[in-house]
Amino acid sequence: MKPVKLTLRGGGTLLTLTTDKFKTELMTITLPLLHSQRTARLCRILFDTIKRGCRAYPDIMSLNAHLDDLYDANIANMYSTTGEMASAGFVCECLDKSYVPGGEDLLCGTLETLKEMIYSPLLDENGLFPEKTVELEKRNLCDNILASDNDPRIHSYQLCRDLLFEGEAYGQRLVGTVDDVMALDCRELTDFYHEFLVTSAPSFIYIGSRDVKEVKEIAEKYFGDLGGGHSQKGNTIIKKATPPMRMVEEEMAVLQGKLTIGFRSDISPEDKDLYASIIFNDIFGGSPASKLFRNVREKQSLCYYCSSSLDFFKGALFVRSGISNANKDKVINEVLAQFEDIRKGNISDYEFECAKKSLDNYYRQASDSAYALENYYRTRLISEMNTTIEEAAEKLRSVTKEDVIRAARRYEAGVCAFVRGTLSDADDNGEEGEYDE
Amino acid sequence: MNNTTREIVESSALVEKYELIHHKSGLDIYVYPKKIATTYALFATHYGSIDNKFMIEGENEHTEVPLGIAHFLEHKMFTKEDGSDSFERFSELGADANAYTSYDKTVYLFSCTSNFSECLSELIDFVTHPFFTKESVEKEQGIIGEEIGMYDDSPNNRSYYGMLEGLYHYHDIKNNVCGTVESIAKITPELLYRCHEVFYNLSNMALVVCGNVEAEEVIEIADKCLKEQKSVNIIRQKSKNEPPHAAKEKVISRMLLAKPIFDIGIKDIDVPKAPQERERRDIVMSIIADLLFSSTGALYSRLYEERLISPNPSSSYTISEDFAYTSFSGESDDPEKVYNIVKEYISKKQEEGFCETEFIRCRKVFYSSFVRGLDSADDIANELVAYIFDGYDFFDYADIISKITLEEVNDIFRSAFKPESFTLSAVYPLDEKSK
Repeated sequence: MKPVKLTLRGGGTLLTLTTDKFKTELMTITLPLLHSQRTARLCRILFDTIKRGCRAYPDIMSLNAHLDDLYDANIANMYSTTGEMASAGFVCECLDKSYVPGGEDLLCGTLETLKEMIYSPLLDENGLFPEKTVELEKRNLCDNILASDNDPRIHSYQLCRDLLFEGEAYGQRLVGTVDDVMALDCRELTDFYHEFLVTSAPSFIYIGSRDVKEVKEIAEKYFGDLGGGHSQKGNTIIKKATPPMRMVEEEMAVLQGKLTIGFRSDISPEDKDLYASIIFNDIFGGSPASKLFRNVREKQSLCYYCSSSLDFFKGALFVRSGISNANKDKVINEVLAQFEDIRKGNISDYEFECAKKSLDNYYRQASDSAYALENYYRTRLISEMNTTIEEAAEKLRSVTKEDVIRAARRYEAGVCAFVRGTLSDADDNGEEGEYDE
Repeated sequence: MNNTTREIVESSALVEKYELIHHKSGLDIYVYPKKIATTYALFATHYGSIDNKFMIEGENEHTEVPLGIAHFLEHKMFTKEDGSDSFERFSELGADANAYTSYDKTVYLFSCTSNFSECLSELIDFVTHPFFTKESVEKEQGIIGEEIGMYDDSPNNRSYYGMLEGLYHYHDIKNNVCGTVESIAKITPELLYRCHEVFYNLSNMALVVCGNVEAEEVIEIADKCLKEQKSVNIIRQKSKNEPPHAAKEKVISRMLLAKPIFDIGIKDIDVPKAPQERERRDIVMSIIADLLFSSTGALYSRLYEERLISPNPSSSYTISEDFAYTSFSGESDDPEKVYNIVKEYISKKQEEGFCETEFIRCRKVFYSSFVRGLDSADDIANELVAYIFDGYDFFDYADIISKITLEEVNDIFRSAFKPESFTLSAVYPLDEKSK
């Protein structure tokens, strides 16, 4: 299954992975945009508004019923950031016609529907998106923002990002504040919609049984006019955090405290230490064989989870854990001790081999999931990396222990954020509330 | 001595098949080959959080164990007698390993793209060789205590268990799978060994392997790793007979969250004893839940347009050997208003009945969902093991969907949803007055 990439009429890019492995077909249609909070919230409201109905299917019931008639064809919004760039658009997924009783071509039906939604939306007499619909979607987005603000795990992560990426779009809350959302109006949204349609050269990714020639014809038939001829390009800031590590702490009315420690490096996706940094993350906290899992959870029983995750498009790494307030200092010290251990070169053969095998397994398994393949190739397209999954796995295999130590030394801990839980079992008033009217 | 026997189960329409192997050890093994890179294996016991009073046929009295012990046992199984940890062994082999416990089963699993034989041997070895000490049990109490703390902070978890508390007077389904900090403090190595002895008997277990694998390889490993075991008949003491009506009309709580959330539960007391009938009811009631609550229905449209619910509510039907319920969950500024509208809508819809168009559309959705699941080795293995323990036939699902009639759906709909079977669980923000 080799990806085939070509340029479409109008300047868009099509990447096709032809395979009979799946009983479904997946196609994403996205525009690469420079990420900002404003773009993110306008895309979100725009896509949600479009999904409320179009001229052919004028309300949510008729649109969803039509998709159900296409054997539950799925059209989902996408706004996914890669560094300081974003892929904005839609994911279409449906059954392959070989598995549809009657052999109906559902992909064409799904794309036809999406085309209707994008090019024939419901507008009012002034040519604007209807106020009632936009207001409802604004309210829904505000609910999401407030829900995140009240989730201690997300809040701890966001506190860390706020400080670690001060002044950079990457660190900001994705769509801004409730006030930002409520300030948006139908005129601004409609103007954005018209700009969006011609703003950037689109990317199409297809995974399914059709060959590239057929997919090209389909993409051009339904979306040949989408997007502009040029691509937007972002300038992702990638730099080490500056010691000393800053501490930030807030309180929330929950039982368990939530910890996030953010690290930054100067390793960009083009850097020779990229693959070594991926292995470093796995050794540090990326798997059950990692230093954090074995030491913080298994040896010291300090938590249920303590793991690290890497965003290599930004050179950023986060350690996250849920812990008792009383164990805060102990856990922070242990996490930093394990970090220092790797930087000093204390990586056992067991740790090193486990990380390499775990990542090799991860890349091989990705070929069994259409969504994992789509995610891999979309993020590479937007960051102009041409590495296939197989090539990435090969690069990981050639990394040495010395490479990992060198990569680890290019990271610095920048911010430690802790959300302290203010409820103990004794003063948790949640259990008292059962009553009859 | 038993012999190993094999049979092929297939669906020509879906171009899918698996092999059922009655292994001479007493274990049933299911091998489902797929042309993919991954192999996914799970070793499961039909033992979950509701199995807290039991005995083996021939014994005189039931053993009663603390809540949460099945989940605790799952955590402890990874530590081996030589001090090593199975997680670490799987990592050495480049595999991903995990485990989970539900109300009716405990499942140990791995996925790999190489070293399959070694991984499967390890899986069978650690699940069949328990080793517990007082110290290791005490240590695990700390980790699981943090896990319980994490779930206690979850509004969704609170609302879900509030719904079960509202539905059930006695049934153990209403207790949290992890137990409580107090209940797990009573767990001892002796109790863990007793549970393992009873429920990890091979006759109460299943091994399912899906992916890049052949049956012969699996049988060869099972021959090496498994000894023949005498089957046991486990007698699980059921909860006291549940009354047909919900235990409470409302369960309200408050905790940190931005917008109230709710779980509406509707108790179903007509649970067929025979698995085939239960499978059919499962599908019919799931179709009814979808017809009532999905985003193509009039109810969703009304609630959404009136801004009474957030965009993605969920609904489902759950059935086991001795309990069943429909649920509808979401976010709302006014859960009680949603509850009243849902009750009125169902009552009115029972009079009208569902129409042919919406029914046929819904059947398409269910067929598609089943076929989509066949793209993923882990979905197949986890679905298959659920079917095995429920006594269902995996490939019958698509066939039953095509044969269910609108008349059957409407008949069951009219008899199953009674006003006294409803409960509302709602969690409100801390600073909001309960309605």
